Amino acid sequence: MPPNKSVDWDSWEVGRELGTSIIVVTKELISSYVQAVEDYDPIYLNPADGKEAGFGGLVAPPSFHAQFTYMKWATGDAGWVPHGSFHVQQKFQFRGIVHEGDHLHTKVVMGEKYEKKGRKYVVYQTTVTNQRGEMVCAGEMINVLAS
Amino acid sequence: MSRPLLLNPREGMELVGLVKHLNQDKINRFAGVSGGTSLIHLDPDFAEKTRFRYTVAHGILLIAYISEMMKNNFGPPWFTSGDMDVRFVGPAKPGDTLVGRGEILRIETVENRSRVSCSVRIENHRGEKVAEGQTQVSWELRESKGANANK
Repeated sequence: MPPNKSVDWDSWEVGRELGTSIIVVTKELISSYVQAVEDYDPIYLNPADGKEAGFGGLVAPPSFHAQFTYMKWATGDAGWVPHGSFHVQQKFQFRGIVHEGDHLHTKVVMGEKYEKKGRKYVVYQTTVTNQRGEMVCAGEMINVLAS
Repeated sequence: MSRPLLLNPREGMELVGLVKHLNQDKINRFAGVSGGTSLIHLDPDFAEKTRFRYTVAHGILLIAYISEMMKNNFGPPWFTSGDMDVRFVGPAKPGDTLVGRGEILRIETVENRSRVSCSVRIENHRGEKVAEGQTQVSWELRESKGANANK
């Protein structure tokens, strides 16, 4: 689905899909992420360590799939987060282990919008599923729109 | 994987914390892998004109730090049962030393699972909170939450 360039308070439609993407999890992507967040747990870097820990091989950090796919859309290409808005709260549910080679399918939809103390809030709802259709992560990004 | 740091969690127990030294290079690197390329994170000239007056780290980077702290403390169950709800209450900026902290609030048994609820926060080296929230993690009572719990 093409990115939506006109996300704002008035056009916000609860339940409307903003977009989807598929990312193949590679050892290189995991490694880049691990370096960026400085969590050098060997289960993220060495398949043998992941196997020994009972994960069956190389795995990604829980936050990897949650943010990697999400942020790329949110502020990179898609322009979904209006300029000047603030990310004020984030919720995540981690429900599955992500291995090297997995295909992650991410969907973002418009969640609720509400006003509180004169500020306008919008909620981006994200679900990430693997190639078997299993949900591995669900998230809610709550942003305050610029006034 | 290193074994969970909390082998016998109890209510009131402090989580083993975490320290990260933030600089602009690290924010840039995170922007590169995440695609979070908003100017407020990357461009000091732009940031100077905002209310922050300096670049700030991504909220999701702080989420990654909290997630790492929970993984370190509780091990594999965090991957499959971790919940987090975190508010960003202050800016984390280049030059900050960030310290992750947490405490076990409750331990309950729910449907044959042990469920641990924690308060978590990240503070800078001036003791100012930049993020705070709650986390939960659970595991089946018959399971060890040790390193091979997911076998």
